[in-house]
Amino acid sequence: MRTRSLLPAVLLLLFAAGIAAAQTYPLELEFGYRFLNVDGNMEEYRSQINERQGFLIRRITFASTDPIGQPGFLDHFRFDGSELGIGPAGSFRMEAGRTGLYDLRFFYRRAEAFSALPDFANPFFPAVIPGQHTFSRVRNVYDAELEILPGHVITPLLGYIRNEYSGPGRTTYHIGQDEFQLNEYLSNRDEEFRLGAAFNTGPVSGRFLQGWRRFRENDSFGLVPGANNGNNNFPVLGINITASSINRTTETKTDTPVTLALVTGRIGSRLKLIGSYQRAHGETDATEGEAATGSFVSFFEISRFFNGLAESASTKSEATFWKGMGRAEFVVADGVDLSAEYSRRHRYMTGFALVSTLYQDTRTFTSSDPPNIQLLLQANNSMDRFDTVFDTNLTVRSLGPFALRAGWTRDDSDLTVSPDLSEIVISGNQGGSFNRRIDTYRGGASYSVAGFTLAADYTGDRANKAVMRTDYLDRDQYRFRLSWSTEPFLRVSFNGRKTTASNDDPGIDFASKIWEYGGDLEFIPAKPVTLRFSASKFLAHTSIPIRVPQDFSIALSEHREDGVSLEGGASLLLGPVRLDGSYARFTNGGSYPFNIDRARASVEVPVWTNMAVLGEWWRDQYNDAPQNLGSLGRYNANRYGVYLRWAPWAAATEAKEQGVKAPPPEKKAE
Amino acid sequence: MAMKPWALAGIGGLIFGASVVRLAAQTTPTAKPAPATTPAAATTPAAPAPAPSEKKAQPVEEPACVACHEDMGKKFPGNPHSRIHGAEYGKAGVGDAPCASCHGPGTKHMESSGEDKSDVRVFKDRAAADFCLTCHNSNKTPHASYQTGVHASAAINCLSCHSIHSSEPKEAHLLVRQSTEVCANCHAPQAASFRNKPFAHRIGRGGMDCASCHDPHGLAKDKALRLTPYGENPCINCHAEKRGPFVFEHVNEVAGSCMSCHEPHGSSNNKRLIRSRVDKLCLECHSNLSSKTLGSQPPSFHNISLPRYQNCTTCHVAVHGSNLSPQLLK
Repeated sequence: MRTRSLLPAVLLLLFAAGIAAAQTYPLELEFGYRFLNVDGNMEEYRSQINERQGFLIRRITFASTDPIGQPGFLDHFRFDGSELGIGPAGSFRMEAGRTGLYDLRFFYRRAEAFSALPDFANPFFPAVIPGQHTFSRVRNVYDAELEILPGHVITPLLGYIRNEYSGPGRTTYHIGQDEFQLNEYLSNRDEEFRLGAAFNTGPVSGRFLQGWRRFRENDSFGLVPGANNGNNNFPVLGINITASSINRTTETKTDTPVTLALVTGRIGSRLKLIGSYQRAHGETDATEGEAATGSFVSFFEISRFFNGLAESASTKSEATFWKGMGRAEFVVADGVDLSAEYSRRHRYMTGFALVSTLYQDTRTFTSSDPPNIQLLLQANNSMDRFDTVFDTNLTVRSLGPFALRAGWTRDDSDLTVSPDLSEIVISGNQGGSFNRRIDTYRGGASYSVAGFTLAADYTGDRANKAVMRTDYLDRDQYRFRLSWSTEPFLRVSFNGRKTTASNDDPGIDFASKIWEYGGDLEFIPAKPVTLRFSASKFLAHTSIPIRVPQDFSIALSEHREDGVSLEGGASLLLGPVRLDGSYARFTNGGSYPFNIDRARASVEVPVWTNMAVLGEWWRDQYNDAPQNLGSLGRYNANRYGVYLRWAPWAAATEAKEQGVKAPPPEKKAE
Repeated sequence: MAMKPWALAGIGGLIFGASVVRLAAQTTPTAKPAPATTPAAATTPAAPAPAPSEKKAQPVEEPACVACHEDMGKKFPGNPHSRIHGAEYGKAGVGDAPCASCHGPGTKHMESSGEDKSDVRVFKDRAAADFCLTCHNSNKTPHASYQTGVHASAAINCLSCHSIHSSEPKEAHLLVRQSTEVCANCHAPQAASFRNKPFAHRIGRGGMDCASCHDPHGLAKDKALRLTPYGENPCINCHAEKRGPFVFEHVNEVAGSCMSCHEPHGSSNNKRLIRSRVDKLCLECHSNLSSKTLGSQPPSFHNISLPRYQNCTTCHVAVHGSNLSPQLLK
């Protein structure tokens, strides 16, 4: 672990410890070290789990009504952090304020994105490991909002969001009838500053927000050392395709002012009216510079051989989005509510690109004369889309132990797309005008009495036509839930969901089925013992005919999954010592068979007042066997953690002890 | 370690600063909590909140209810409901307002030493939701309409997910358990998918949970998605670089959405794709078997029996949109 990163974490712990020692602050902290041992394919492990070895603050909670002893400034403060440290994802949030004066909220999240799959993104599967497309990037999201004078008639609002994403990667680039591996470094930042106010005059309330969003990206590429021969090792038109250098840099800038207005009015005690308007207008300017040297073949652009390429591009795109919505909510009777909503949404996008490409030292298939040829590409694209939605709902929230819900939504889409230049491959069928109407019918009922709950929901979608080939014409979704709890001994639940979608139109013949069901059991035979069992099954089958491009024959694209999950676990309190263990196995057949075994074990031993040591072992075993070609991504990952939990706040400790077995929520009365 | 040093140092500095100020403030003795008020005093109707300047010098006072409900009294000062405007817990002149504002005056209850519960409200089922909504019928978002929302029923009410007095201390919003566990109680198939599938968002750990993408108080018509304030899919909240606009747009915001190709609740396939083979995923749209659909032209004459062409995104890397290449090559 890098020392520079460890230092602040240790400082944080010391500061927190200092506070806790000096004050009776509500602080709970869990921190320690995680060890890692992976056998097998490390890159598959990192692509899926990516928990690494190092220092980790698993949890920190700090809350106070009077954190600085100055009640005129702060009367509440709360800080919650989780998984801060070695990653792969961690976050914290902070809330602070003075009632009626201000509220400040801050959220931070860091997530590491890693992908290097051995088989998936590899054109030479299974001969080459690892895959050609890899990245190891970090995303940092910061979100702050300040609300001034909350609860007053006018409440000014200030907000700021920043989303940064950066890191190296490896990608491929198709040029001159071959693909070459490129190293990439991507860095972008998306930020938004917003300003506005909320108002509440009693019967009428609302808010207005104006935001300014800014996106900046730099993406640079260079030929991977040693990758000069490309993916294709065979000569094309008698020459070997090679690249001696490829370099490219793109800069992208997007500015988007955004507006949101919302007004709610109440007429009497039964009617509420809501209206909103949202608008965003984004403009993107992008530039590119590319230089490549080598020995290439161009078929479509100039139908020649060439030895170098210099390209510059300047592009501009714009998108305007607005949505207006009106909604009425009416209390028909006690517990019976009716709502109706109408919304219209519009998105218009237009794009322009001017690309200047200089093919250097070109020659025809028969000539050796090497002139340079410049090609100008000017593209204009546009897309215009309207969505009009009418939605109505009726809820009857209690007829004794019963509740009913019904709804209907009509969604009309009108879409016009200009033909784009991808038609230079095979023209036709791209672009045009499309429209689609979807009627959605929803219904649901539940019965709940004495810890027993039975609930069922149905959603049916009926569309008149498809815009994309995989759009359904008919879709039906069923969901049911059965649960029974006898507090505090037993909780049983059974859940299921089935979705079918189809499009019988000639030339499409799309069909999809997903069927998931499972049961959970939690049993407490005696107070210190909790047993848990879970079993579930997942079935999926999707099929649609496709045209095979090399011979224009028709084949069936099918995707199948057949997964079974079995899980079991137990918790045991032996005096002050808490033991917990679980085991889970998921076996998935179908198009990409694999199985995963997961084992978890932990022990928590109190060592001092409000202090405990936790030992933990997590094991994940992944085995895949795609297409009977043997496993490429198999790994066996063991993580061992040693953590210290420290809760100087007595109430928090009590709550934690009570939380060893939280009661099922439905029956709880306050 | 992965986190930026300055960020952690900032956290440390914040807490350290708070401790310094707190220590400095301790040089002036603070008033100790006064004994509980008498039942007679407690029955006084809640007075409006005094102005901040008035509160400063007044002694802290616990509600009379705490004399019996001691455990509630210990936890409640940190509860957001203790800051209800005009009913601030433990402040002189306010009395039992924080308890009474939800549970009623409780005069008979106190006078009978807890035997008589006729003037004390306890909450269960729909009555719980209805009572919470007297304050929480928020107008802050266009979809804060719980009564007609996806979770409005007899089997589910506010107290199914939130607990005013016994919430999980480490969770925000007074949730009864960790947020993902709360959702998993009913949405077991989705929870199982997150647990079992090898490629899934890291739910419940590190700052992402179901509510990152879904609004549990939202409406059924759009699966209660937590759209951005400007109507975009919640995916864009994190994956901002996919927002565009691009000169050469692909699926998103044209005819489909992120879910046309990805399964956000966990997938057996890398990149959370809905198919295990990329070429088949692409050809399902680009097959030219029907002239009535958008984007159905075939993808050149690539021989997909060759491994070189079996993963379309090896070359067409800019599948989320490009400003430079009509074929999404860069």
